[in-house]
Amino acid sequence: MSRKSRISFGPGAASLILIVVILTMSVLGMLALMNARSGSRLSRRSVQVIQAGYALNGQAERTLASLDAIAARCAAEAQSDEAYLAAVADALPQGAAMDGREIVWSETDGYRTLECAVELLPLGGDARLRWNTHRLTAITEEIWN
Amino acid sequence: MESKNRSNVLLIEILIAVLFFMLSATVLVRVFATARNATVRAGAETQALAQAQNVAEALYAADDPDAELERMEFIKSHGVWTRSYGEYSLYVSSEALPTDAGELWQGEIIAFYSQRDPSAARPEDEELFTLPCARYKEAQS
Repeated sequence: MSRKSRISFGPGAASLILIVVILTMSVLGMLALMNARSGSRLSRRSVQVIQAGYALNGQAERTLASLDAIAARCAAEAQSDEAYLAAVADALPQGAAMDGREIVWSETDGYRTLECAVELLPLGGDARLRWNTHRLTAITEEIWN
Repeated sequence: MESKNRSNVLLIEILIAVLFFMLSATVLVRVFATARNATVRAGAETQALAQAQNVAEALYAADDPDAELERMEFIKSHGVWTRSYGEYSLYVSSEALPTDAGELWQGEIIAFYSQRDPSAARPEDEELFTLPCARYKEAQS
């Protein structure tokens, strides 16, 4: 005596399968959307950080231009290297300071600070200033929170 | 008679299920498409940022920015250097300002995302970001 098992597709089975499929697809869709959103947020944040760095760099270059103008003016008037250094130290703009032959200043946007230092080369040379330090520091908690 | 009624109920249920599935699929396909577009856009933005930084650093190190852009296969049109990288394009505009003791070169690198939206009548470029760059060159004393 053999008994054949028969799969019957009664009322309710289609609805059950449909609910399972829709729920699974919805969960996958939400996960894909969340992943895409976090990727977008990360790339947007990278852009902001890099842009801020380059903006500070641009400010530093503009300050360097004004410092070089001061150095050129003082070099034209100075008779000796000591007099040249003293004249430059007197003419430095607010925010810049002289430490030996080095002129130091910093550029900031509130969250990041670019510490800059250039060396004042001896009088009579081809060049007047040379970059020594270019250090970017960031208050990470302020940026990320 | 009972078997016929059962078949009718099953048929109506399957029809309603198919209809509901189609409605749900319409919404879900839009969700998946939005997620894919956002992922592709974020990837393009990241790649464009890396490429823009590369260009900015090359220009900072170059003695002649125009020659460097030409070497990097940028094409000059209406005073702006452009290059397409497929999903994104870079536009470089620059100017050299004379200062008291030298020359300040200032430039902007603008990245555009080339949208591939089939529903749009024509492809439109969306601005991704602008990267400012500058370099001071002192005149020889």
